[in-house]
Amino acid sequence: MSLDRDDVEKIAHLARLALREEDIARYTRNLADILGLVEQMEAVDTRDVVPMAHPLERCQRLRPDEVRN
Amino acid sequence: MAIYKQTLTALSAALHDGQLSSEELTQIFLERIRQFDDQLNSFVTVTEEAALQSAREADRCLQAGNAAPLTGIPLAHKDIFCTDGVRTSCASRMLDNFIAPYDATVIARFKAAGAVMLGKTNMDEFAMGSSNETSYYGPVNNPWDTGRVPGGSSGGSAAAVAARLAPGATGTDTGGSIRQPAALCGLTGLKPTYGRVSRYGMIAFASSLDQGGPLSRSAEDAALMLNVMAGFDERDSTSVECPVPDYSAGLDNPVAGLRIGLPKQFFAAGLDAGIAGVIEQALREYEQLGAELVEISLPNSELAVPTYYVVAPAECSSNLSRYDGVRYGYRCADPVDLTDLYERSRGEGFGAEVKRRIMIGTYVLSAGYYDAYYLKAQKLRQLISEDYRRAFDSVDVIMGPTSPSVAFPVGERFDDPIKMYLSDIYTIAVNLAGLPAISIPCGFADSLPVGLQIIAPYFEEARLLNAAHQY
Repeated sequence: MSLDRDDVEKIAHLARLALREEDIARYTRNLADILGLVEQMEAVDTRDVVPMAHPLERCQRLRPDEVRN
Repeated sequence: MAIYKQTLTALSAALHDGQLSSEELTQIFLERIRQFDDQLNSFVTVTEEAALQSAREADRCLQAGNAAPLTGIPLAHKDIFCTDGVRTSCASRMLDNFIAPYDATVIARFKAAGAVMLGKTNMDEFAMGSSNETSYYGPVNNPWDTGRVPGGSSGGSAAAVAARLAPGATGTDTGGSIRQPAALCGLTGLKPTYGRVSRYGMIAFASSLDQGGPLSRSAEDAALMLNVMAGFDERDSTSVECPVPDYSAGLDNPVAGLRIGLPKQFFAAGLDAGIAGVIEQALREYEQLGAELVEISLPNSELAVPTYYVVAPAECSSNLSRYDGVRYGYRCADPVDLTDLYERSRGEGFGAEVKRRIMIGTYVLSAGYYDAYYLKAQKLRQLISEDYRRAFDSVDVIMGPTSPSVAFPVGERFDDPIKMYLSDIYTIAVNLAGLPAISIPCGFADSLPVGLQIIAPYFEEARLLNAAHQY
C-alpha cells in the first residue's frame, strides 16, 4: 500500500496531530510498511463471516433510568 | 533467605505470624528501590510517605487479627491505573502533570484488601510497545542484563518484581503486555479473560482488548492477587457477572489426564532453536506429570498480527482523542486558535509510536477504508476466535512459547516498528479472542529467561493457575 506525503498530512489533520516537517518522511514510510503488513488480511475470504466487535457475546448492560449518585 | 527474596505468599504468612511488621517490610522494599532503581528506571513515581502510612494501618489490622491475605503486602502498580491524588502518567508527556482524581477499581480493591502501594511503574507510552522503550521517562532495563529490554508494555512492573523491588505488581495486557515482559524477565504473568477484571479507571488503549492482571514470581502469588482483582464491577460496562472462584483453592490438583494442545503453527520453522529446546523440555515435564500432548491446528494464526494492527490502532485512535489540551494534561504554549491548540498539544504531547498508531487507526476507520480494513479485521477476529473454540473441544489447555526471542538489546528494534510488532506473534491472538492466558518461567536460552505460555478457555483462570503451579 503506498501512501504519499499528502495522505499522511490529511490523516494527521483528521487526528489533530501536528507533525514536524523533518518527521513526515519517516512517518510516511512507517505507515506504508504497517499498511503493507496489514494487507495480508486480503488473503482470506470472509464473505460469510460475522464481524466480531469484542469477545463477549453480550449486549450493552442496561439499568432502569433512575437517578443515582 | 533474605526477606525481599521471599514470595508474596511467604511474606503474607510472615506478616500474619508476626515475624515482621508491614512497616518494616515496606521499608525494606523502599530501600531496595532507592538503591537499585537508578539502574532499572522501573518506577515513575514512588509513594514513600503514603506507603508507610498504609503499612502502619495494615499493622493495626494484623495486630487486631482481622487482616486479609494481602494486608500489609507492598505492591507496585503500572502507571496506567488511576490512583487518587497520585500522578498517573501512562508514561506520556501528555499526562505528566495529571493527578488522578479517583482510584481505578483495581487500585480500590487492593486498598480494601489492605495492600500497600509502593508506587507507579514505568511502561511503554499509553501501553503501546513491546520493549518499554517508548516511555517519556526513558527506557526500563531488564534486571537479567541491563543492556537489554524487559519487554513491554508492562516493563516497569516486570523489572521491579524480577529485581525484587516489589513482591508483586499489576500490569495490563492488550497484545501481550503482561505475558511478554513476564517471559523476558523470568516471571509469572497472567492475562485474565476479557471482562474478568474491571477496566474502570484503567486508562484505555484498545477497549475490546485491554485487561489488567498480576505479575508475580509464582502461580500461588498470582492467585492471591487475582482473588483481589477479579470480579464484577457495575462501573465497567464490559465487566462480566461471573462468580469469582477462590483461585488459591485448586492449585494442588494433579494434572494427570490434562490434555495439552500444541498448535503446529507455534512450533513452525522460524522459532529460535534455543527457545524451542527449553519449551520441549517443559512439555516433557508435563508428560511426566501425566498430561497428554495433542497436536492441534490454529489455521488462522498468521492473521493475528495484521488483524491486531488494524483493531488496536483503530480503538486507540478513538480512545486517545480525548487528549486535547483543554481540561487536563499537556497543553502547548501560546496556541493561536482551537485547531492549533489540539494539533500542537497532541503533536507535542504524544511520542512517535503513539502518533503512528493513532494515524493508522484514523486511516482504517476513515470513510472509504472502514470496510476494507476495520470490518475485515473484525471478521478475521471471528475466525481466529473460532479456531480456539474448536481447539478447546478436544484439549483442556493450549501451550507454546510466549515470545519468539529472549530479551533483545535496547535499541535493536526501536527503529523498525514491524520487527517490534512481531515480538507479539504468540500472544496477540489471545487478546483478539478474549481468552485467559499465563506465561510462566520454564528455563533459559543464552542465559536469558524463557516463558511458556498456557492458554485456557473463557473464565478458566483456575485451570491455568493449577497447570502453572504444578510445573
